[in-house]
Amino acid sequence: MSGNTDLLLIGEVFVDFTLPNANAQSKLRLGGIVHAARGLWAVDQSFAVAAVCPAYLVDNARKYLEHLGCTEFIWLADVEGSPNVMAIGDPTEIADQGYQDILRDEKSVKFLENSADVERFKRCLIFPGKFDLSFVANLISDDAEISFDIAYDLPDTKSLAAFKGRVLALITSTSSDLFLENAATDVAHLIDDLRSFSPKCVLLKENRGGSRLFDLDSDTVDEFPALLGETVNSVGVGDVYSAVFVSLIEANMQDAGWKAARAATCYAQTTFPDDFKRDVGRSLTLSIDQMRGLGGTFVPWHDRPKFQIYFAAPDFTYIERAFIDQALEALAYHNFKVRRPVFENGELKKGSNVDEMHTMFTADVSLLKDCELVFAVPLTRDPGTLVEMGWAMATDVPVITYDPLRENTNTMVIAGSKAYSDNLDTCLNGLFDAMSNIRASRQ
Amino acid sequence: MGSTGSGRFSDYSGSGDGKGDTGAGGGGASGEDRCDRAFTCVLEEVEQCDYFAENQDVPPSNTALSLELRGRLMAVDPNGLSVGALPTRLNYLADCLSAGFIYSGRVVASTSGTVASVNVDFGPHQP
Repeated sequence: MSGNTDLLLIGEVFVDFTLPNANAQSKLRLGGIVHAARGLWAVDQSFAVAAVCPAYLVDNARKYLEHLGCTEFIWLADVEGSPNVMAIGDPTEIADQGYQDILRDEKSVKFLENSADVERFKRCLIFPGKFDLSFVANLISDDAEISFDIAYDLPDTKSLAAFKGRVLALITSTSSDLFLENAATDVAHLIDDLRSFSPKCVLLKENRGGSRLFDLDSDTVDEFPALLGETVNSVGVGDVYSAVFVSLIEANMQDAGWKAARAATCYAQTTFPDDFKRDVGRSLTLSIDQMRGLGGTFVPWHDRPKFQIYFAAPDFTYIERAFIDQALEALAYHNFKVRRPVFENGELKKGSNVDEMHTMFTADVSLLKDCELVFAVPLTRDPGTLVEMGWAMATDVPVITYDPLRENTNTMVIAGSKAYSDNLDTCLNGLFDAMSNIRASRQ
Repeated sequence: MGSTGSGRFSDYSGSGDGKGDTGAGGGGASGEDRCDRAFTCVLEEVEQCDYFAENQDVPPSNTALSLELRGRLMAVDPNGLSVGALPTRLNYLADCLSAGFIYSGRVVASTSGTVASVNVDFGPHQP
């Protein structure tokens, strides 16, 4: 293969600004394809960049990327009408991260003369954005291998048609609109749709539940567990996963998946680049067999609703619901099937008689017996919630306890729970982990 | 009203430990290393491990332990018997072991009641 074989990252460059909150200060850094570049730098892969960004960002982006070892910076297209600033509310992806691409509707993209330089590259990874993919298709050499991260900004797959015959890998995630609209209940349809572009593989990143690699040549599926730890900032983690995977795919596709998953995990756990590179370097000294042996958390998106979760909480209309609604939103975002006794069996009026209470008790206990896990939010030391938790603990049903106000720092509550925290991120990890263990015990 | 932080991109590799005037959470390195941290946990799969199989019991408090990668990360007693597996949230310690860190620990509490349970503390040694 003649031409430049450095992996060319094509996509938008943003300024990512993570808003401060009670637990963390604000974070300012270059985003978009710069996340992917950090991943390639960390695994010592040679790369170049074709950037779509506003003129004011070019010097900063070029300087930063060259510092990471970028071999060539091509200003592919100018962005007008928008600063390409992404305001990020929730950096840990407890639920939807709430990205705000400021002035995105005013954005226009104008390709520049030096875009022709793209033709020299034989390996490309494209992160679609607010730019014309068919124009990019004409810029890239006919004998180039092209991969896509289609997690964002690809409303449908039609625009991939111009690349047919040149596609190596298609990568998406369970957070993407494309996935949610086409594969939320069954992934087969999406895989078949993507197969029409003749990729070698499709990689589906499933957030805290791990990821799946569909090898379309051999029709096999490989599973990579997630390594759940404290999430510091999940912004760009998927981009790192994609970039490292594509950069290593030629040597061995499955090994590339294992290594990329580890690099992505390290990226989620620090925003300091030198810490990230150090941690990735250590992580990739393990053999693939060692990575396999260590295990981790694996709960595919489509398996999650098979495990019913009893929602033990004062889930009443008349209380301050902010923490309860936050938990419910997060559980729904991750495709968990939550059974809400108050919602399903009703809410007793004050002053109800014992017979009415007994009917409700029987219905709630019946629902509890149908569930395999309990997610508890025992706000206000709610006695009903605590009894439900005790019942579950006594019958070996794993209980995950989210106690945001730390009102239940009690030995039985804490030690009896599989996970106990005032941090929802920690509780979600505990839930994924407990469900993964149940799933594994049945296989 | 003045502005603080966020004034420039400061997360350059090699640009310091993030504790100085490096903008909003900037700097190249945090100055910390997770491999240097001590940790505590409840061991898993205790009843499937060597020690329980051999003794039908759990090791007593203060039993010395080391950390080894035996497929999963295992707490191992001085006779080389595995006592239990570390939770997978601590899997990053395998990376630390491969980087040369060594961890020693002890049993803090143990019980072999209805379900065998072993609580452990570990601390690192420099590579």
